[in-house]
Amino acid sequence: MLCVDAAHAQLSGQIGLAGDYVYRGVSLNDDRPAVTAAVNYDGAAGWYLGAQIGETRLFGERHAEPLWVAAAGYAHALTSRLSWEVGATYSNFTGFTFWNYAEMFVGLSAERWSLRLYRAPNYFGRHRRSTYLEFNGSRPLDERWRLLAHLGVQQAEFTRGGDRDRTFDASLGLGAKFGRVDVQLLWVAVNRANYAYPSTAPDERRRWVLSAVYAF
Amino acid sequence: MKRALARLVALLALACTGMAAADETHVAADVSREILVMLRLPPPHYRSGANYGGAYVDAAGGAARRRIADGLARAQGLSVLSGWPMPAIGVDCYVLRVPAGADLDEVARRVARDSRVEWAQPVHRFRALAAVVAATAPSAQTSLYALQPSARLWRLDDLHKVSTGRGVRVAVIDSGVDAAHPDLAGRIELERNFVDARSDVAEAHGTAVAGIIGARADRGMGVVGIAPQARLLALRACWEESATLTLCSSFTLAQALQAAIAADAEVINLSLSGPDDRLLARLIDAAIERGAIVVGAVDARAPGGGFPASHAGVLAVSDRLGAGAAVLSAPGDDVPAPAPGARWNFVSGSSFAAAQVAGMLALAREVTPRPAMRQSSAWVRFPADSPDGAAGYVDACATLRHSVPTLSCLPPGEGTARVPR
Repeated sequence: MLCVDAAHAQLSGQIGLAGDYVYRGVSLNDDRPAVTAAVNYDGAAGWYLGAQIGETRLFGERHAEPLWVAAAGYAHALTSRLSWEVGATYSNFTGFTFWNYAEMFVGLSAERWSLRLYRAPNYFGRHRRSTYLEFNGSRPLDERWRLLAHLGVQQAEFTRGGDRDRTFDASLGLGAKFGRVDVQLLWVAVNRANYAYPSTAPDERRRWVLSAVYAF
Repeated sequence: MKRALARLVALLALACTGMAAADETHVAADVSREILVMLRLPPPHYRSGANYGGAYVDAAGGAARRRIADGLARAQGLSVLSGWPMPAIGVDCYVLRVPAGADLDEVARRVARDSRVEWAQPVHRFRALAAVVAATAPSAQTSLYALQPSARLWRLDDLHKVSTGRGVRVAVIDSGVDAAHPDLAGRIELERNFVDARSDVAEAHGTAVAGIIGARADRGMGVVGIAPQARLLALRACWEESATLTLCSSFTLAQALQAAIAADAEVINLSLSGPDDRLLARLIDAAIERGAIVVGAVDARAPGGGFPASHAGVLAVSDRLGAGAAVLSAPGDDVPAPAPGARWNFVSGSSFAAAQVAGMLALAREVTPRPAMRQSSAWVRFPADSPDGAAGYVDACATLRHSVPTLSCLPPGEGTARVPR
C-alpha cells in the first residue's frame, strides 16, 4: 500500500545532538551527549514509516552502541483539528540484543497535543508487560518560542505475575525554531529509580536536557 | 565527552546562523504573476525523532514539502517565493512566481495535475471596501461619540451597561493598525504583519476598522468602540496602494486567517472583497467549524456582494439598505474613526458597516458564548416606521435582547433604553 501512494510520499529526515539520550525519564547514555538521527516517510493515504538511531551506553556495555527504533503506523484525520492513529515500534539494541522489544500504540493527536497509549508484551526483553500513557503538549509563545510539556505514566508487571510497579515521568521546557534547526531545553523528572531499564544511572531522577535538531 | 560537547556547541552555533535564513518574508506588493500551490500536510502523528518525547513540531515534514515545492517549480520553470503552513486546513501553501507571458490559470492547472499537489490557484487581489476616507474630523480633543451612528441608533452607552465585549477575541484582518493611537493605546493584544517585514505599520483603513470595533471608551474624547473591552488581534494582510486604495492578496489573507484560527479568534472581520478564492474559502470554513463568526463587507458592485461576503456561513454586511434578505445593513456613512498619527477621520463604506457589526458580535459573545447571530435571520431590523432614518438597519438593542431578555429597547429618538442594573 505504501508503494501505491509513493507518488504522494513525503520523505524527511533530521539529525541532532542532545545532552543525553533520555527515554521516559531515564538516561540511556550514561548522562552523556548523544547523537541522534531519524527519517520519516508519509504516504498519501495516511500510512507512515519512521526510523531513528540514537547513541546509547547501557549497563554492562563497554562502548557506545546504536539503538535503532523502527516505527510504522496509520493516521487519519477525524476533524480539521484532531486525528487518530495506530502504530507499532520495534527497538533493536545492537549491543545486547536480548533487550530488543516491540511496542504497539494507539493515540489521538492535534496541532498542539498528543495522547498515546503504548503496550509492550516484553518491555526491554525483561519479561515485563508495560502499559505507558503519555501526553505531549506545546503552546506557542510567539513565532519562534514555545512551551513544551510531557507527562507519562507507566505500569509494568512481570509476565508470570507478581511485582507490579507504576512510574511517572514528566518534562517541562522551552523550544525554539531557527529555520530548520529546532532547539529544546527541557527539565526532565521521574518519580522513582526505575531498574526496569538497563541504565547506568537509574537513580538519577531529575536532569536538564538540551538538544538541537536539524531537519532536512 | 569533550568531543560530544564540542559537537553540541557547533550544532547550537549552526542554529544561531540559521536564524538569518529562518523566516521567509514575502513582500506581497506584486501578486499579479503568482500562483499558490497547496501540498498536503499529513495528520499529526507519532514521529521518529531525535528529540525527547518525540518530535513536538514537524519541522522535518516542512522541509520535505519545501523540497517538493522546489522540484515542482523547477519542472514548470517557476520559482518558489515563499511558503506558509496552514494546519487549520491540512496544507502547506507555497507562492510560486510565474514568468511573464504565461497564463496563470493554465499554469495553475498544469501544476495541480501533479499527484502531490492538493490544488493550485492564482493569487487573487482583494480590495478594502472604503468608498471614502474623508476629511479630518473637526476636533480630536473633544468626544466624537455623539457623531457616531452607533450612539444615535443603538445607544451604545446603554448597551455598554450590559456588555463591552470583555475578553472576546476579535481578529481585524486588514491593513496596518496604529496601535499607538490614543483611542487604541493598550487595546491591541496581538499584532502580526503578513505583508512585509516592517513593524508598527499604521494605515488608515485598518486603524479605522480597529477603532470602530474596539476603541477605548474611557477617555472622554475621540471615538468609543462598539466593543471597547474586546481583545483585538491586528493582523495586517492588506496594504495601502494609494490614499484611496487598500489591497490584499489571497496569500496574505490566508496567513492572517490561519493566525486568527490559531489564536482562537471568536469574531473575524473581513472588510474587503474580491473574487471567489478556494484557499480563503477553506480557511473560512475551518474558522466557522471552530466556532468563529466571520463578518464580510458587501461590495455593491460585485455579483452576489463579492467574496467573502457571498460565502456560505459568512455574515454579509452592507452600508446600503435593501441589499437583500440575507444581508445585514448598518450605517456606513461619515463614521468618525481614528486615523494614523493621533488623528480622526470621517469614513464611509461597507468596510465600516461590517466593523460595527463585528463589534456588536463581540458584545453578544460576552453575554452568551454561542450567539445565534451567525445567521442574518437572527438579527432584528428597525421597522419601516422608525424615525430618524433608522428603518432597515440592524437594531442592536433588540438583537441583543435575544441574549439578555431583561433589556428593554426604545425606538431611536425616544430617550434612553432601560437596562438591567
